[in-house]
Amino acid sequence: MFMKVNRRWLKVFLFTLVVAFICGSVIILTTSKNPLTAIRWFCLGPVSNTYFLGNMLSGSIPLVLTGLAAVIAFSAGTFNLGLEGQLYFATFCATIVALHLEGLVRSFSIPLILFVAFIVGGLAAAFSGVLKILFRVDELLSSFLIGQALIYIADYFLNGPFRDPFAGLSASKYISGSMMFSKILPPSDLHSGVFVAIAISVVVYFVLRFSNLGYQIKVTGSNHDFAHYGGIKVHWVWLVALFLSGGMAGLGGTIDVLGVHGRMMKGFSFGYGFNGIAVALIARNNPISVIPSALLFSYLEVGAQVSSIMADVTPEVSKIVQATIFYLITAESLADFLIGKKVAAHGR
Amino acid sequence: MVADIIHSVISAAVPMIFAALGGTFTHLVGKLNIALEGMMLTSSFVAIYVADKTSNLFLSLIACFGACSVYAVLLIIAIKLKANIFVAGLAINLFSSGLTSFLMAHLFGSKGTIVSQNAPILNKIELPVLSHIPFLEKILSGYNILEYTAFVLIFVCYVLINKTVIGYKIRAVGKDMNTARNLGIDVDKMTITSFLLSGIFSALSGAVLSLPMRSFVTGMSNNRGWIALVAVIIGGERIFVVVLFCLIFGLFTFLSNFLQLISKIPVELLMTIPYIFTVLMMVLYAYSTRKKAG
Repeated sequence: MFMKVNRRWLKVFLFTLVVAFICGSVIILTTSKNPLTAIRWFCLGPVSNTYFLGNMLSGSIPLVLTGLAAVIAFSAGTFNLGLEGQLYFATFCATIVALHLEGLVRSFSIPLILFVAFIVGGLAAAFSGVLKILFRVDELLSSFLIGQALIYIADYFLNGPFRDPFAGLSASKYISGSMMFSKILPPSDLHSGVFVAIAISVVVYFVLRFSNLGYQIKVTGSNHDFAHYGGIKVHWVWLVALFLSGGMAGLGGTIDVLGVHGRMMKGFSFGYGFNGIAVALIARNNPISVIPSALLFSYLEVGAQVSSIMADVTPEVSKIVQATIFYLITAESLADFLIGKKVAAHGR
Repeated sequence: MVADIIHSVISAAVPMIFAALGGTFTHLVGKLNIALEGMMLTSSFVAIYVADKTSNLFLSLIACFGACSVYAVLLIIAIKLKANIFVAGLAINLFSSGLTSFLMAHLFGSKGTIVSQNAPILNKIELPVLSHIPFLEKILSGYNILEYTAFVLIFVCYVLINKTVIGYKIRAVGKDMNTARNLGIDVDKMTITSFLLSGIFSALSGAVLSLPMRSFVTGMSNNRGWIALVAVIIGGERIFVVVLFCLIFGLFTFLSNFLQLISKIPVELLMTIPYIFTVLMMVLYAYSTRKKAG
């Protein structure tokens, strides 16, 4: 059964892949003066050398985490649209903590920084959960609006009290090198945070699939009235799921800063949140499939960057392609239809 | 002074009023149109682009309708395929932010702002009827043509929803789809109609953002679509409540802009005002209705 579902998922994923590159190529074809070179760089750029490959892999790390964040929230039947803000604010707080931890042992400081990010992101998301439980305020809108407010608040601190006066842009000071993840494939950005991301997705997979909490989350997600009659504290499950979701988002941004940027920069994470939702949807809420989905999104991003360097392509191409996939994924029955499967043959 | 402030608040609220009217129609058939934001953003770009090329207000609006109708059709297809409408809406929002920045770079070679010299100038029109009434003259007069259109359309929507057959049918679909179907109402047709109406209103909301300023800025809609959605949820089928909340949110937007000019509070913190207060309104509203329900 599991294999069968997996094979079906693989087909849809491959279909998505093909659509993505056709779509990107068509856009490049209509806008570029030298379309063939541009398309080649767009499709093969990320694997053309180890530098781009490393950047592609490291670019997928935050998407894996935000993808997991969305998976957890979706599994409990909640919508967390505030990932963007939770990630940004949590990363900001974690960066500030990191700046005050200078001189500590590495094996102590890195987990502490990640812990702070997890808690801050989690609390930011759980606040929407509290509003949902106490006042029945739709968490879909409240999480988004609160997230936007948090982005501005973090921007205020980045631009004011915590701005590095010597930086040419709104950014914090650099975190000391001893707290950074080590590079794996220099000169590319790939860093050891990639193992953290993989480990977390495995943990999330086992928690969702085999633990008591995971069971409660899934039952609540599929039918919360039923879950309630079954004795599950639905409100509590929502709260925990949103907390974990926000926490994952916070980790995603912080690992990115500790691995790639070395400091918090204004707007460094634009798109991680919403793309994480897309990644989760492509992965069909499976924490393991989140990894290839995130790789696909990162591939498109880097492909567009490479072809904008090597040819006359506007890098925003990747945004359009990603959104197109996002849309097509919603109509997953369309994908099923096109690859010759009967709609709803497998239930969902 | 007070009259000037009210005037500015109304102007700030107009884009949200348009968007919220659009959102109301889909809300009435029981679907929340998350894509308002994206429709608005695309439309404000299309408006400036076509206005710049043709210097014709009418053509520019038609192009906006066209663009938003495409989005509306995409949403309708998603519904027909039983896809999640939220996700389809999010996809459209992402698409529009990608598309506008892509087209900006590709067509104008710019990444931040485009200013159009050719776009038609929307003059402020003074209503002669009101010219002798001191206070009302300042509040109700001196808007541009699109803003007056908004005022008229509020009443048109009210009549359409509450006094016409199509309004009843749309509401019936939203109340109970199966019953509506059994009564012989064409559910699909009503859903399609409401989404297309939603597209038209979102098109206007985008146009009213960019055309009066004759310029387009990246992310111009600035989450007004989301805030309008809050007004839609709070107001439900009561059009005037929806508009009232848009005016309240317009006040927050105005405050956020106004305080940037007169106070020394950092801009970033002022920018949070619309979001924080919108959430606060949601909470207060939910709290008050829960009390009423007991």
